Amino acid sequence: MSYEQLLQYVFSGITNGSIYAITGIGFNIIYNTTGIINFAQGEFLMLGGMTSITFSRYFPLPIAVALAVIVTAIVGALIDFLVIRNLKKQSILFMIIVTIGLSILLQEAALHIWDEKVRSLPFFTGDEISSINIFGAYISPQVLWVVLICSIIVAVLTVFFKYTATGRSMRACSSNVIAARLCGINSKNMITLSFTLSAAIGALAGAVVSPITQTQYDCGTSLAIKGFAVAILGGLGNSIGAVAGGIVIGLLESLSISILPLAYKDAVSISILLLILFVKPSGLFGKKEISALKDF
Amino acid sequence: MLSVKSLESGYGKLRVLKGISMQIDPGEIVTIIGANGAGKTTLLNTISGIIKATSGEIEFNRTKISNFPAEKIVKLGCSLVPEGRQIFNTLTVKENLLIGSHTIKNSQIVKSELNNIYNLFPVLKDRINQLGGTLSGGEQQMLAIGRSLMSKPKLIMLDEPSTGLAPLIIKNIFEIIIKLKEQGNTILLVEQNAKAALRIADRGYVIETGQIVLEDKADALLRNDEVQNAYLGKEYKK
Repeated sequence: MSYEQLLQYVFSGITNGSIYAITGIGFNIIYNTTGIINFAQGEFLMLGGMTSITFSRYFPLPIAVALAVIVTAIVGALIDFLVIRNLKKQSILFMIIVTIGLSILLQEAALHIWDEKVRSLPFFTGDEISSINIFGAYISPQVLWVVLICSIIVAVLTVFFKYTATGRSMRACSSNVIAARLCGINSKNMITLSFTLSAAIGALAGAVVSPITQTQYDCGTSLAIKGFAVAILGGLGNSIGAVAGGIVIGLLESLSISILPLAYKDAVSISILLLILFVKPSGLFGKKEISALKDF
Repeated sequence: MLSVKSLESGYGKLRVLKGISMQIDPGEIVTIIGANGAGKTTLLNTISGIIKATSGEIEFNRTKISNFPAEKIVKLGCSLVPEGRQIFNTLTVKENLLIGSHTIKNSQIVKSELNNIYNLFPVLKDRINQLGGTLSGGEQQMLAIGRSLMSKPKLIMLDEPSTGLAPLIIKNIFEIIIKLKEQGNTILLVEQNAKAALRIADRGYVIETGQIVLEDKADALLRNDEVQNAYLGKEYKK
């Protein structure tokens, strides 16, 4: 394998990795507030992609994406208002199962609103054949957009959860809801906020990856599986970990293509997920002591 | 300050409190003693709004709070230090305390309150950046009390603060409760350790299967034959 070839594999690994990472981050927000895994996270990406494609017919691209983020955030808030808030039993397992149902519901709704055709948003800069030459290997400018937006989201979220009162309150809710309420935190509003926020971030991710991965009514599931794997790998709740996890899985996947048949690509990433769950369940970057204090 | 009238509550169809009436005046330490399953924790959880009362009335500073959600009751100044401490395991000690001051918007007050708590519990100051869940039981209890104090409560309700702690630490916690009273706080103390609770309390209620069976001054309860037999051990002598 030549040097350029290796570099090309690395770049394609980073491309996929940053897509996985930006997907994985969405899981962390709801997890950080409620302790639940939102299996409808992939559908937020799909909705973000689909709505921005529709809006882009009438508005310039940045406005279309912004509108898509707003619409999806409203859908996220509605999911909480209509479903999660009204659950009689607010147990974690119960809510997780509900999100699986919601994911199917959103997919079917998308199938009816749009159709089964594969669409994609135009490239943010350039088009599908434009590429940037870095040290002899080529990378699509859209990848730089993914990396850029991913970094901004991670930075903002890290500051938000660590240093703002609202972020701290959200983490308190995840740690112990009853104690949080006894401290005067309205836990239901925090959950609404977390669904809104993660839907918004999911939508942004869905729009920015759409030119590369393309968008279809059921594209959320496959993205969510990888995103989930990445979130676990990096340590649930840890956004910087999710990015590192994403890059690790992306690189291993693309390097595996150079020695294994392409069909084994997904097997590689899922094997890594299993390995992590066996060997270091707190994730590569999750602190062992923290994970011992969590429910899961 | 707090008055409870024929309060009933429970879990689903299970009635735990069967008409409880009691009251607390400002500046008092009032204790509720009783056996396991008598309804002590249920009473505190109902007052603090975690469990909804099925009937009866709770009045706090002349506001009816029977139907208020927990987060609103804290804002009025009625704070519960729950059974089993319930601190935020995955947050640091300082973050735990800051969450306690959620209802206070003035950052100056928060800062001075934080200093008060570090003075009251110097151990916590040494551990501000340690995760709550990694503290020892005694330290967690101090953190739970500190977190409750951060909301500048008018009434502090303590649910079994001595559970699972070494005798020396229990002594320490009770000294702190006395100190809190001296600083002008009003305290409702629920304890299984009846002897220790009655020694520091002004008045006491004895609760049995969801009903108040006895109420008196604390020292009178300590001398009461029935209380001695049931809760203090027969060999207990003054």
